[in-house]
Amino acid sequence: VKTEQLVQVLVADRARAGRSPGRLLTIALLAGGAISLGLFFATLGPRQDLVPALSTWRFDLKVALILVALGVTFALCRALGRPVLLPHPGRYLLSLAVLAAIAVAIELAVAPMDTWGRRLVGSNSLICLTAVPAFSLAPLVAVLVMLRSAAPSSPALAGAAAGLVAGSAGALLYAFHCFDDSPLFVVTWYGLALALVTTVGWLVGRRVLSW
Amino acid sequence: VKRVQTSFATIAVATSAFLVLLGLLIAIGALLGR
Repeated sequence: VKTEQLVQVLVADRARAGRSPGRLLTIALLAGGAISLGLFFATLGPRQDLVPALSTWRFDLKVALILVALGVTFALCRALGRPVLLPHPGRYLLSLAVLAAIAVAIELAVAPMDTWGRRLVGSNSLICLTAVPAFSLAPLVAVLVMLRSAAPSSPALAGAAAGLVAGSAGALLYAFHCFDDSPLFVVTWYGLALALVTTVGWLVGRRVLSW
Repeated sequence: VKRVQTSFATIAVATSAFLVLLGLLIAIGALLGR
């Protein structure tokens, strides 16, 4: 093959490659999220006091925290989907840990000490631990399918990142049903549910994303 | 030093996004609550 021909072949491949990884990840999340949204409305549905809840700082803080988690984990998943080794992927999650710690500190400063236990346990913890992974399933499958067309440098880490971003999407949906808005509850139980989905993503990613 | 700077930058971006979103949600809540 002559150099000019090789260049032409490379250019043709590039044209076929088309969409960027970020765009593909967005499409995967939207597709999986749409299925989960249907599941959400078919099963739990939004809480009845959604509009009054929007006027409370705890609900707003919960949704804002999950939206930031979705954005941060999206960036992490996109970075880990590349064939280049990502130095210090934990840096992405550090920002989330800082925000979660600030939210918990605010709650501990504002809420009376004798209510901390009740706020931590809440009334929806078991539903949270089942609903968040359930709503994460379709986005997780969609993101893993998308990542199979990429070439992640670490299949296990990319799978875990897929679990994180899918778990955040599932948590965002569930947040509109859940009426436990305390940061103590959100950080503990949503965090546990997210860890569960991340572990599943890590285990599955290790198998299906290797190349 | 560069690693610490990048970590701080990441935290600053995430915190800014968080504050903007929180403000937006509070504004929506106030509008809907009227």
